[in-house]
Amino acid sequence: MPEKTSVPENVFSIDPQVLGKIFILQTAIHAIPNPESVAEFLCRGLDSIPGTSFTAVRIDSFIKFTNKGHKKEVFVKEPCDLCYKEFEELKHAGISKNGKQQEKYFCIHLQTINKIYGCILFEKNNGELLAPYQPFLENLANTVALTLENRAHENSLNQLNNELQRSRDGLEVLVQQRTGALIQKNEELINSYAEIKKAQRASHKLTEDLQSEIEVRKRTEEAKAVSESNLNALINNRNESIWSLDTNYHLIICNDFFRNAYLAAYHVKLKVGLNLIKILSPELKAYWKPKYDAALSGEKVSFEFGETIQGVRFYFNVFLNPILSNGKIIGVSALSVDITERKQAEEKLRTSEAYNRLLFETSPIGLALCRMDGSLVDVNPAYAKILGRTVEETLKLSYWDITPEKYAQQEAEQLKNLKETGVYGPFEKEYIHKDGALIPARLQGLIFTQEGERFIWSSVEDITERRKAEDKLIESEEKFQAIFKTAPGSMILSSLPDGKTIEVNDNFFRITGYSREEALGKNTADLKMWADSDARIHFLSKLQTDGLVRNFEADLNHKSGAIRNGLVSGQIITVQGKKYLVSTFYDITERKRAEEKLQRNEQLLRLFIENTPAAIAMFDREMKYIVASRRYLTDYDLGKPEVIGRSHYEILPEIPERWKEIHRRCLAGATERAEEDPFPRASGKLDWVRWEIRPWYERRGEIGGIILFSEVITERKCVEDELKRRNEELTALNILGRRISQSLSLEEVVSDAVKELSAAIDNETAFLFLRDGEKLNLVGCESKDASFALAEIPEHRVGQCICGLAVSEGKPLYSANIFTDLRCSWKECKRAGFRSFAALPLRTGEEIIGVVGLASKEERDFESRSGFLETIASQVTSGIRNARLFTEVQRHAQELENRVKERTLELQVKNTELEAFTYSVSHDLKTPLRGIDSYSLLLLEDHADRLDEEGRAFLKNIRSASLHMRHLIDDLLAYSRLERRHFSQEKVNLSALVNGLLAERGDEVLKRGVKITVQLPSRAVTADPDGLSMVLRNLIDNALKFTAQVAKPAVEIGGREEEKICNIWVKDNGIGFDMRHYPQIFDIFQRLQTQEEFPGTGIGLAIVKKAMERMGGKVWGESVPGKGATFYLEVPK
Amino acid sequence: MNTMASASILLVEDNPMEVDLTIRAFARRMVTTTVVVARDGQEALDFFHRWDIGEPLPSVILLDLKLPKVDGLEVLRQLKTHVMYRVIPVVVLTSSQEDRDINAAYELGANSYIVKPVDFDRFSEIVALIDTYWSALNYAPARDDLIEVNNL
Amino acid sequence: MKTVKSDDLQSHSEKVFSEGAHICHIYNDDEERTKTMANFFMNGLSEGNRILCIVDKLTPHDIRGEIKNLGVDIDALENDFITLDNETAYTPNGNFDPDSVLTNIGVFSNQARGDGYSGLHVSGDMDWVLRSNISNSMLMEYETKVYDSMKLTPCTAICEYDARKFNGSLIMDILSVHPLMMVRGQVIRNPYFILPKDFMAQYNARKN
Repeated sequence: MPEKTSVPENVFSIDPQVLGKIFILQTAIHAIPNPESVAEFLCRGLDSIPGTSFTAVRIDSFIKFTNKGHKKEVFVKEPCDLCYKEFEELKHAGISKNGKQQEKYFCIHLQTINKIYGCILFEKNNGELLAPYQPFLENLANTVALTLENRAHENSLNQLNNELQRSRDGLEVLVQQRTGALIQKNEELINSYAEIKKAQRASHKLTEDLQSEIEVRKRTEEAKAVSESNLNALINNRNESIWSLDTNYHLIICNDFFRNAYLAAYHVKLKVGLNLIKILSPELKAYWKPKYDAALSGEKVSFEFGETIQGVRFYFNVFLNPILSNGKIIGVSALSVDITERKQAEEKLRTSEAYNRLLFETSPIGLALCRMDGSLVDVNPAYAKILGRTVEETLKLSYWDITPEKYAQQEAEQLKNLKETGVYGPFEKEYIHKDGALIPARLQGLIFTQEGERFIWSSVEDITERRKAEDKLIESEEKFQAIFKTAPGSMILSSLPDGKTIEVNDNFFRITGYSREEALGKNTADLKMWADSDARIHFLSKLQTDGLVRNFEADLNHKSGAIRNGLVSGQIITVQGKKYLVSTFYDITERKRAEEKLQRNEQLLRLFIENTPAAIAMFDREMKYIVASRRYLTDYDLGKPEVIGRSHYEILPEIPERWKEIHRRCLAGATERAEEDPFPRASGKLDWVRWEIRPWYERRGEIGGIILFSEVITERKCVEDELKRRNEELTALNILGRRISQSLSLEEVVSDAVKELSAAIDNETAFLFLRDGEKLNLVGCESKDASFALAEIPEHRVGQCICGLAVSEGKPLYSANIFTDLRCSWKECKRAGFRSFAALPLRTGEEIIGVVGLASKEERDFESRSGFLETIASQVTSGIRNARLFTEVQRHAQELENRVKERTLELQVKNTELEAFTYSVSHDLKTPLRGIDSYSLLLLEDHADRLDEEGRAFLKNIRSASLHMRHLIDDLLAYSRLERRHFSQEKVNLSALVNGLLAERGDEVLKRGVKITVQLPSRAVTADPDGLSMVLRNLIDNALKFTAQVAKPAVEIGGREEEKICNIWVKDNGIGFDMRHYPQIFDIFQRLQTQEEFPGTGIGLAIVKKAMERMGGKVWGESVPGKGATFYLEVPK
Repeated sequence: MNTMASASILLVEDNPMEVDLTIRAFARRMVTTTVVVARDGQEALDFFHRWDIGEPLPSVILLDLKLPKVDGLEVLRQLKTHVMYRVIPVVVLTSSQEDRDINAAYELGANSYIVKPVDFDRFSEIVALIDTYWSALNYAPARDDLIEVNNL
Repeated sequence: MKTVKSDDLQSHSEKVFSEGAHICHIYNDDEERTKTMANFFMNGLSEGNRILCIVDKLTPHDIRGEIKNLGVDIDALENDFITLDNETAYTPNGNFDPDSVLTNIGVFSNQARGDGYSGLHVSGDMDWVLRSNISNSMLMEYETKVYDSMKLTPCTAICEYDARKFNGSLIMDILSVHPLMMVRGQVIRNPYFILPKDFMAQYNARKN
């Protein structure tokens, strides 16, 4: 149904202003050139089209929209390709796509047959207001699109023209370029000629420059020659060889000395530029080249070089230095100094006597020959060894390399001494070994002269070992002292054989009471230390035979006279051939006392434990009994045999491993207990014990063993078990009973029953058969044995096998062993391995409806639990019966429902038919009625003058009759709609509604001067707005109608709020009616007044009543004839 | 686009009485616009062909929904999906406001509806307005036309 | 035209125009514009009005030529047809002062009546606005003031806007402040017209 409230009833409304705006837009569009501007213009111009609340215009990719403050998103209906694709842009503008709300939007495309240029989008808030303008808007859109297209075409045309022009221009440019190129070539030729001329001039200048340069060079050379002769003078007047090479070993310069030496040595005349390396022999080359190379790489090299020239050995000290020029090494300069003489002296020294040499080499004492400055000339291997180096390495060292600084002063003194006396040492110092250790050594030395040169001879002795031995001795002495002095017992060192005390330790006095001085020189007999002199003799003889005695118990006479208990130990030792006795005495008096005390306590404890009425046993770490109470012995039937000292496991070999594990744990420190534990005895009996085991601790805290408290609770347990079982049974019954009563489905009852049954008998197998005449159908089976399949159960009949017999006899049957029971006729149970069986019939009153079978693979005594099992059976029975009854009930209910549905459907169909009938009747009736009305009006208007009085009267009657007929049809339609249409429940504002209705009748009210009073509660009521509106309209119309003859007509509309309802009344002071007719006034077509006086259809109040009924309210009325009428409504809130 | 200076109204109505009354009503109110009548859906569709070959378009179409041969809704649908004729405003005539066909008509693009009998006074005003709109749009004055801007 | 009520699409009853007419003419074709203006002037002259034509790109020579083409001997009507350049008219001191401009026009109008004419027709080519540094809001202010000025010194004024140069939004604004507009050579009541005070309120709201 379209929303009728906002659409005028008849002619479609077009606001000329709006049409004018559209028109303006359409004409003005031509004038605006660019699309953006057009979009803006359109958007602004279409801002306030009726029925819309939002406008957006899109042209190409430019979007413009007016936003009236809505923050909602706008959605586009079934889009054109362009709109759809360019949603992204719309999104940026705050508009996005959502399929659901498409109906809210009206989109016109700006499109021609060629292309879509954009769209105009409106958000509808009242489609019917917008609809009349749609054609005009679409027309506008077409115009815009065409305009845009024309412009586009124009643009492309212009572009083409521009292209053409551009290519023309291009061509011209090209031509120009060509001509330009030729001209350029010409110019180039001219330029090159000028170049040639320039070059000629340049070469002239060059020759002039060359000549002046030659002059300069001459002068430089002269200067050079002068400096050269200076240099020569410098280097030639010396007794050393000086020469320099370049980087290729070519001789740059050398002095005369070098030249002469070279000539003498190699018979080579040196020339500048000669390669000095090349002329050497291979060995020499190998020697010299690396040294030159080192210098060439930047090192300053110095070394000694020995050479035999004409049979004579010469020695030189050679120095090589790199020559730097501008930071680069350009050669090597060399200096060689003759050190032959010095070397010779050294040599002589070294080779004077081979013998001496040998001595020198093989001397175990380190010998060194050094110069006065301390540098070594020669060392022997022994010396080198002291330093941990080779001879060669040693020779390279200097004095201070091997001497720690702390000896500096001593050294200085020694040196002084040496210089004065010519001798130094012997003194001791340390040398620094190659690996850094300090080696103690003993030195002495003297100066001697050889060939005029002074040298120092030194002998160096490694005194490491001696030192070590000394230290060791001191160490052990100290150790021994320490031990001796601090030994806990009293220690005596006495000489043998007299036994006289040589030394005593610190504790001697404390323990014996005698001081060191008193004891020294005396033996123990002298001091009367032994309480028992025989003991002494015994001790000493033992000592003789064994050489040592350990922990000999003896008593000591303390000096004070007290007797001390102790342990004596003695050992004979030999020191440097002499025999001594070392003896110790430990005072154990206290300990002994403690032991005695302990023993006594133990006795008491033992007595206590043995006699305690509880069962206690105490074990040591090996689970041997230390003590056990008598009760314990009786509890465990251990009887008389002594257990003390014997292992627990030996006494009760049947103890399971589990308990041994527990014992182990407790021995490790755990405390364990159990309230009840099965303990199978060797006799086969099963006892139950309650026990607690905890470790006990020695004095020092370590675990000495465990204590076991226990109690045999077998009897008590039996009783408990029985109780528990009874309880379980009751619970099972309870659960089953509850379950069964909860469930009404047969399947559930059956499955619950077998489950519970099975669970109740420790998950044995349970079957449930229901009787069907003479057959017994298996409906449920629960088995802990998964392999047992339902399908294997054969058909059972009443009277057959145990189950069948139970049914036919009507009483429960138990079989402890079906193999031996004749009643069991089916092989399947036996085959499945069942041994014991129970069959319980399910009895309801006189009838047996089935049977429950219980089977176990063991020989169980089901009969012992007959009470329980039979109770379960009866519960199952009632459950099954209930389920069956319930199924019946359900079936009936379903049937009823189906019937109701059928009826309702029939009614609905009838209703629809009726509605269609009413509708089409009224529709079709209206058409001819219209004809009658219209033509009669035409007659009246156009041809009235051709009728006489009578004729005009007839016409009037025709018109009034047709008018009446129209009212009737309308009212009938309204009434019939009340039946079928849906009444909604909405909040309706009474005041607004009533005021609206009054406004509709405003003219009449004004004309007749009717006094209207409205007093309604402000709260809204819940009703169908149209329905309530119709009701009130009818009542108001009636009120107005029936006050037509009253001088001062007044209509009062009021309301009062109550808890659940709202009372409304419409009161008039019109003609009223007789309450005798009250029951009929709500009937259809029932009228109480004549048609002439008060025209009406007689349906109004019927409509009111029906509408109120449909809304769940009430209507009634009261009246006093001549005074007026009041109609009341009760509307729910 | 309308291509003529004087407009017409297309009335699609099967009941001859209604047609007669409508024409008379227009006449009474001096609506001089020509009323062209189609008596059923098929005739209405035939008009399409006449417009195709150049006959002038109406500026408004009054369309009754209950038509023989071709149903009013079908005519409406064809009108509103036609690329050229969709811009003509269509007013649907119905005898009852609760006609469920009104919904359907709006779905198809009807621009408004009137419940019969039509209030011709207001209706003719509007029709005249639309006429003027179309004429003004279509009226392209020739260059040398003197436009009357009278009494300034 | 059909006999329809006065507030319909097109109407130009005398009643309206005797109170002064503020018309906007939006054009995009120079030739058409010239012809239209020439017609307008001719009609004005034929009714005994003095014409003041404020020119910009259209030279006085052109417009006179056009009027001549229509068969009117413009040269003979010196006093009746006056042209003025826009600088003198709108920005006499280099600045644009709306009030003084309107006052001047008012004076001119009164003078015309004093000189025996039935009234004044003024036309102004508004292209100069784009070349100046006048803001849009100032322009709108000026146009709204014309409305008030009309009440005091009624005359017929046409503001000419070249649609090719002014953007769409501004054109809509301009439309909103002119009660009348010239379309296709006809003067019609402008459906977009909003009263000045309402317009300024909306305009400022939109600016923010």
